[in-house]
Amino acid sequence: MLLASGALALVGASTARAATDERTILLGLWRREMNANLAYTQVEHVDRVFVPLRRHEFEHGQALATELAAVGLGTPARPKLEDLDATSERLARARGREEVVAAASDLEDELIGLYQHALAGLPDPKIAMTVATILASHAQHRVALGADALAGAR
Amino acid sequence: MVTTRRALLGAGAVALLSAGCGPPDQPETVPADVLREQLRAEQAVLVASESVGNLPMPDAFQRRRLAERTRERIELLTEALVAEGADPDVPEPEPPAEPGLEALLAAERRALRVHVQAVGRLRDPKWSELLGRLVAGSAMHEPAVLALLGRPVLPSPFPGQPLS
Repeated sequence: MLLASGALALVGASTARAATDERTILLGLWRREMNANLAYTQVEHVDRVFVPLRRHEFEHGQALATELAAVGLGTPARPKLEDLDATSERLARARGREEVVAAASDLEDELIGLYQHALAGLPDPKIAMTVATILASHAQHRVALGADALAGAR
Repeated sequence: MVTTRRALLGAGAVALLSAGCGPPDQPETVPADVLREQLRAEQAVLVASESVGNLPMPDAFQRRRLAERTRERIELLTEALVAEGADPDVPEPEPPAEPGLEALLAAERRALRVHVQAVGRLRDPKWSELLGRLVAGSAMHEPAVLALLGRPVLPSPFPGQPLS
């Protein structure tokens, strides 16, 4: 019985740790999406290709907020310009189509990497699939930005 | 203390398991079966791509490049199946009834859905790198084919989500 209680305690501790990791990952992804949304808002007037990208980032943020609620977290306050991560800030400050496309491509590449890495830390199948569809969306953004994204997709 | 729906369900499950009343046996996911489904979906993309008729340049070049990327994913999945000790041979898919870019688009979209579903089924972290590469690589094809069809390239913020 003692052994069984110990095993249950271990399972409980490991479940709690996994849940914490899952929350941290989801919170981080939500922040990056809202940062990207805010950055695209600053540059969407440069070319209409940026309009759906800005809208998609917002919708990704909403989907992640739903998953945050499912793991018991509220939605934090939306970021302000001074809160942006370095890559989003570079996009927000970019001027001219060429500079904006380069900054947006870097941002989308970074998000693709983050989402690929995040998959390993998400034990819940439904949450993992939501994250996978958002990863797919960022990969498509990369193609829409017109860079040679398909040259080495492997 | 944060109490979540999942925590309450988890506590209930632990109580049931302690009382010897576990859930009924669920069919176990066999990774090789999931990988084979993914392999077959990518092979269907390749068959659909090869059945597209002549395209003018530069569209023909783009279609060839997409096919090269598809072959790379087939190779990745074949390697994964071999590493898993499973047979990588799957029945070759039939060519689409109405060959063309529309059939290619449908095959690409289906392949992405299969990869996203695989993410839900294979939650062991050892599969995550492979699945992440397959999802990202496969997803890039939809906008490329939509561009060949002259359509808007970003129809959805959640590509690959299961059909309701």
